[in-house]
Amino acid sequence: MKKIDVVIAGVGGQGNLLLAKLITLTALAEGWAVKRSEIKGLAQRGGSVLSQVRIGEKIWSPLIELGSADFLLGLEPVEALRNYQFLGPQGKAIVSSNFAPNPIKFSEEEILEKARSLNFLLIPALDLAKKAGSPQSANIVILGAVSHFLPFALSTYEKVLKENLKRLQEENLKAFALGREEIQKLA
Amino acid sequence: MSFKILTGDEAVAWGAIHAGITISTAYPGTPASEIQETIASSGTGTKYVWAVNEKVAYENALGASYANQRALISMKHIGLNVAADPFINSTFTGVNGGLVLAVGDDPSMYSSQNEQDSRFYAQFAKTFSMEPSDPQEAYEMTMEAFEISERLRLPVLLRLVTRLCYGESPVHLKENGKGKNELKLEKDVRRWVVVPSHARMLHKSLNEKQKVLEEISENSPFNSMVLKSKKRGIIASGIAYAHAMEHWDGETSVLKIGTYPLPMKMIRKFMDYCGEILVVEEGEPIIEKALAELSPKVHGKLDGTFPRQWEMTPDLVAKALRLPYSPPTPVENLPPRYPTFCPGCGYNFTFKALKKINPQVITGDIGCYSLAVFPPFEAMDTTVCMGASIGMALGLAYVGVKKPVAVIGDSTFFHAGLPAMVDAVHNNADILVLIMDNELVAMTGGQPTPASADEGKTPVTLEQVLTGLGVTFDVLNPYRPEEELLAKFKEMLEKPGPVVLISRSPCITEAKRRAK
Ligand SMILES: Cc1ncc(C[n+]2csc(CCOP(=O)(O)OP(=O)(O)O)c2C)c(N)n1
Repeated sequence: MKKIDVVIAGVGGQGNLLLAKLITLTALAEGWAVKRSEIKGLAQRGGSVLSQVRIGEKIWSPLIELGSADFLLGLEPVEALRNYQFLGPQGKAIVSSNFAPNPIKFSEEEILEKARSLNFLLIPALDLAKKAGSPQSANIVILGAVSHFLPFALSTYEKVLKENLKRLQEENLKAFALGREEIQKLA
Repeated sequence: MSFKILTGDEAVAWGAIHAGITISTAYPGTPASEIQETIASSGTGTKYVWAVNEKVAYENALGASYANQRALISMKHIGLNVAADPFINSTFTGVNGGLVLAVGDDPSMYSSQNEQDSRFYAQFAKTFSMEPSDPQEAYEMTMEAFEISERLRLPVLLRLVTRLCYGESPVHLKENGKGKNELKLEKDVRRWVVVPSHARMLHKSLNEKQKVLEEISENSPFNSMVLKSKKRGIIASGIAYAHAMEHWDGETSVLKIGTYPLPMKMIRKFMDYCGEILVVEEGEPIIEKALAELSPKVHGKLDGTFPRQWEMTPDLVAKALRLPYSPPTPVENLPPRYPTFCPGCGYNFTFKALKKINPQVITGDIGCYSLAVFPPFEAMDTTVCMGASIGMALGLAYVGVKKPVAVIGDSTFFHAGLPAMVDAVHNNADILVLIMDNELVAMTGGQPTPASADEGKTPVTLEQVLTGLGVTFDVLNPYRPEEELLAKFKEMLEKPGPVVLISRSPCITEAKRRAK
């Protein structure tokens, strides 16, 4: 049976839930069954946020099993590594190389090194979002990147983005395009 | 029919709206707050009230039911501890208009102090309960729960869990809901006044109703059976049914449970048919215990097939069924990420100062300020349940501990701190109560407190209440220089008897959200 399981890791304020929603709506618009779930406990207070989107012909559980995700999307490298266990053997990790602030001190280079050693596809999502003119749109950059692998038509993403993002539409479409372009350099 | 993508919480809200509720009452609490939020923003004009606590919310709904109106009450699982008194007695009085209590359990405690299983409460109160497995069922069950409530004249409990509340999928909705019930007062003191002579008869009639409850459960479309292999069967309920079906091989026999009391006839039939049985349920082994009495071939949490605590997952089901399961090893030694106060929140400064004052003991409470237990503050010694900061500080003072400091939020103060504050004054207890006033319920998403001046509301301010109690109090602005904060703390701590310091700084995260 065909299925696509997507885990999205990040911290509060990075648009994790919106990214999950946009993937959900795109898959639904293309006629798939979808279940989405989220744990946002203390998201507003800088805590971790985890979304799961399950796409398939028939989906029972909203939860993705460890070791079975087809995609691990990281809005932040540490949070992506924290959820590495979700990734399946054939899965791809598409992860922002830009860090979210954390009062705890650590070596960013070591974290990125670890991510590379696990074959994470790293893209500077925040830098690209800034380049697109909307620093809040790092999540849309990641959407653009994963769109390269997902079996959905570009026009469907575009339609969903236009219907659901009322502000900064031009900038978001640009962020999407930059993410998609960047991943093609790596993949 | 139309379809909408809904979370479990949203589906319950729409089910209640389409069941013709007149009112929704609630006290916020994760994962159930979004039920009332959905009703508030539904555009249907359905009346909703954020009550001061869960007990009052329950009583509000019971009052509406007395007048023959349908009412929905929503709260998190531990809220039902607070509302347990009216909930349990309302199974004696019974209800008039349909009364449905939606409770959000939080297995694995993503945002809670414990992971109690609300199905026990329904059992304890001897009433009917239902457990949806996905948002579609949450919608349909909610509508059906109102029908059953009116038929049985009992409150019906909907047991939800975090993954259902915050899981989203398409739901087919009816075009038109039911109209509202007629408002009428039918007095019947033998039912509604539970003096002992009445209560004795009421308990008898509640017991007599149990047969009807069982019959409804036995015939409910929310329980269903697929008889296939005679060797192995799975019995699963609620969202755990979805996790189990994820691994269904198409051969194993399956019994899905959605209502309680358990449909025992159906269960017996299933158990006679199947050999080994795996029970997959969220929370305590309630179904499993009922079955274990019937047969030794039952596996689940009691025999160690599943862990006794934390949430059920498809992973656990895979392991129980001995399916291939080998996730990659986790990445070790990652920098932790502690949740903390939002940048610029006044709580940062108040707790920094309090830490410097270093009181002998700080009893804490439930809210954003609970995060003061973590670094860099580490300025909280206890957090037990809403209101316990003041109650425990009193106990400490009664046995001779010098000036304990109780830290409590504004909403929590109104919710359950107030009765203890009355005792503090009455007993002249030597404590300092620090009220962290951010002018709303921040932790659960910015709901109003009784002090809010929202349209059509009369603000009940902390100052009014404290003046009425005759207790010495002062207000602290946490954004003032630290010397001033320290001086104010010292000044208050030197005063004998109960004193209150209100640290006031409006929630900045909510201010930002509203500005958007
Ligand atoms: C009995 C009970 N009901 C509800 C909750 C959910 N809850 C957790 S924190 C909180 C907020 C309390 O608000 P407040 O005291 O004003 O603190 P703030 O988060 O605004 O700092 C609530 C309602 C709970 N933990 N226990």
